Amino acid sequence: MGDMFRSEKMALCQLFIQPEAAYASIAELGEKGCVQFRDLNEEVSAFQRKYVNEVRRCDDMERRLRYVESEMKKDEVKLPVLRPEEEPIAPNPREIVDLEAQLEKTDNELREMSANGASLDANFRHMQELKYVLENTEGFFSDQEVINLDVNRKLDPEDPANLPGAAQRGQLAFVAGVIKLERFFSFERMLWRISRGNIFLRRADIDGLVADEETGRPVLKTVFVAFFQGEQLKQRIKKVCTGYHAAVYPCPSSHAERKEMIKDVNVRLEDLKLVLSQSADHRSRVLNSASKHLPRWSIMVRKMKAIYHILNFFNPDVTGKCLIGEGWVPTNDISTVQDALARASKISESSIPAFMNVIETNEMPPTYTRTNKFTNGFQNLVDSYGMASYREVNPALYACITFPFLFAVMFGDLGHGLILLLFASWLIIKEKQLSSIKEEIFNIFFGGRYIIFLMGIFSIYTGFIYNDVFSKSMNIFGSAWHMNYTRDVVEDENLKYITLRPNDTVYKTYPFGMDPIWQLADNKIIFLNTFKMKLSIIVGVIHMIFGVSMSVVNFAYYKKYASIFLEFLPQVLFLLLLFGYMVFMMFFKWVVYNDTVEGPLSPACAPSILILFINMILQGSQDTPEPCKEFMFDGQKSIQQVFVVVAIICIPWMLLGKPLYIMIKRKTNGAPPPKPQSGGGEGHGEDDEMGEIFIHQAIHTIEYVLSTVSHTASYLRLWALSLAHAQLSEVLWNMVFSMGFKYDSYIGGILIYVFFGAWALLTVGILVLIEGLSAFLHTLRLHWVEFMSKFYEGAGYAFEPFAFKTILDVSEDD
Amino acid sequence: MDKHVAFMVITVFWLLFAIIGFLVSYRYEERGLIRCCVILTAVCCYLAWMVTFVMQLNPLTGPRAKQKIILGMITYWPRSIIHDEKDP
Repeated sequence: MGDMFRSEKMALCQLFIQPEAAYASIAELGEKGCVQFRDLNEEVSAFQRKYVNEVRRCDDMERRLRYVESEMKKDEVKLPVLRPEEEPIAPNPREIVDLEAQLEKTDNELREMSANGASLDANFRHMQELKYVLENTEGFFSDQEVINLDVNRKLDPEDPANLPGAAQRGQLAFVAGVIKLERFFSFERMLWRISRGNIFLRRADIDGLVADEETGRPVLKTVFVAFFQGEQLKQRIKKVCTGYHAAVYPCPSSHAERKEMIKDVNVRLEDLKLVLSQSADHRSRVLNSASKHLPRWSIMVRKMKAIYHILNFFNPDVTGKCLIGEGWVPTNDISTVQDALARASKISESSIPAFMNVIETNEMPPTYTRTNKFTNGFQNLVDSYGMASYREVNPALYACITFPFLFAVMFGDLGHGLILLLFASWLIIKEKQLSSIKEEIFNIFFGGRYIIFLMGIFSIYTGFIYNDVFSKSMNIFGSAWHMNYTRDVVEDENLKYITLRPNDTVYKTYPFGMDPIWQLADNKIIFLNTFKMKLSIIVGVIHMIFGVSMSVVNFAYYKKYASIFLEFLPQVLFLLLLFGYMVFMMFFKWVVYNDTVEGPLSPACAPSILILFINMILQGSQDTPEPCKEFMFDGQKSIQQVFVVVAIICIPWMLLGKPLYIMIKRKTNGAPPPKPQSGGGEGHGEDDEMGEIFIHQAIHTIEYVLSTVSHTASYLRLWALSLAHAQLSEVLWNMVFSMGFKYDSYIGGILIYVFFGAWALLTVGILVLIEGLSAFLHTLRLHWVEFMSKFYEGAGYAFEPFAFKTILDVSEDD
Repeated sequence: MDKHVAFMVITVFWLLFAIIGFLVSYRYEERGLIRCCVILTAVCCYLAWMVTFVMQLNPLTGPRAKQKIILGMITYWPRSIIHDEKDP
């Protein structure tokens, strides 16, 4: 594959396909995934397209598949996971009929079994409840007979007034049934009210949970028997039972009949249990056999539907003998597409082979950048800002290194970088296993594993440069500073601190990274701030110059050669003469000024770069005491004046150069008459008004000039984030981990263990995760705004090829 | 003399890193990508090192340290000595 410097060349292709070969052709192209079809029937509604019936059939099959899948989920049948090589290709039209019939058969079978199962379940529940009623009412009737005997026994046979009452009391009626326990108490009160207390209600709870008829959820139920007198009351009681959804069951009053009925119910329960068991077995077998095929069927149906959807984009030829389609194809893949079409023609035994033409067009092609698993993360970062215009320079290529590098400048710590590196290495080593995880937040980290990997490596490197390991320094090469004072001075009890003077205490330069003495110094922050600010500006200015230079590559490619002289040159001059010069002053100061000489080049006379720069712009000056000089070198004032004048000239150069050039060119060409724009074309056509061109260029110029100043200041965030990160790390060490070192004996050991745990947790949670995210976002902004705004147009649209892989991935996410 | 040696060693290292990486990239299909990454890595890392080195080449200020730190340096770091000569 080619590199990522530009997006791929794209060609607009016209396909001529025989109708009988159309299905197979689109199937082949769907497997390849390198054609983005255009809809040639945009004005036709979905219901009027050629293959609407086929799409409906696929919808129907999809609905059946969803039903079968939901039934499997109910029964917790596991679906086999298809490996990529097991994935079926799109079925040919003859297989579609078989598949449709098979799906219909399975679907109908399951629906029928569901309906039968429901009625069988209901029957089973009723029988069970009847059994509960018969068993539990045994006690009720025994009790009732005792009560009756008592009543009879108390009556005086001699008393003639009581004889009719005694006869009536012996004729008590009853209603037996089952009700939910939670409803029983209000049910009881209602019965008391309607009977004015002339009712005798007994209940016995059913052990365990019983499935509720309406919802299917397990609930507690209770058996009840209501004894009463009179037929009228019976009707009322039954109505109340109906209102409370209490199931009423027939129940003979004699013991012998109840026994007989229990026996009968038990037999029927056994029969029902057997039938239910066999039904469940059968259902399980059907589902298991279907589950073996369901993943394949799902994929086949989705591919089928996608194919017909694409075929609806095609136009029939006027003769009706072939279908015409149009689509964008990467130029490098044209031969792949032609091979796929030839293969499809052979498969479908078409007499005339399908063929493809490349059409010339003025339309803007889609942007397609070929990536691999390493570059995919960086490309996504750039595409989030804007899709590159067609064949525009791709900043993602350079972001592969500049992004982790700028992150590391902010995050620089050897220990924290090592944590990032280990985490990313784990993600990369376990790539295959982890790629099947679908959790969203994890997928963000997993998708960026190579970014994290490089961020870790570069952070380790800048950890060496800053000499920072969890806020401690390493003394590998020996510090360049050493003590050079007498014993009396050093051992003086009144001594608080010593400020080492470079002249007599420095004997070399620490060869790699920051000298470890600064980690121990009280004025560390002041010193490191000046260093990191300058490093930020230097990196920032170089990054911006690089960005502006990219615009030359774009101008050359799009053959806008005039823009090189009229836009790029003033832009880069402006940037170099002001901020490039500031960088030069930084290096000059570092190299020339030193503590080994007296006079104008001594540390006391070293001027502030910022004040020099401000005075340069504002033509100011400042008093300098002898023997110091205001300027760093002879003639600096004149040079600075020239630079400022040229930089100021660059502004109208940017502002007026291009519009005037366009104006002159139009006059030279004789001002062609305005034409209606067709096909869009590039942004600035010949017919734009001159006023609009001037306004656009003015906005562009103002934006560039102001942003050069503000973006330079914006790169100081590299220093700010780095300072914050280092100080947080030091605070964690001093206020958390160091606490464990203050105790003696074994207690100290235990406390160190505890404090280390807290320190480690906070280090990972705050310094690596939160600070890492912060540095990541700031790096992202430095790339999107500070770097890419120098050259990036980002006005393209993404190439979205017709690919089964993409369709299936999207379906899985749903 | 030490500083010149250090400067030359590091400069040559990153130069060789870039050159060797450039040559090795021809073995791979994605040579453009590899070449770009290698050279950019060399440039970025060299720049970070070079700024740090040049900044410490001629220090204008020195560290200020407490007595405890000074005694620690004298004890543990070589070339840090106590002598009886007059202060400079």
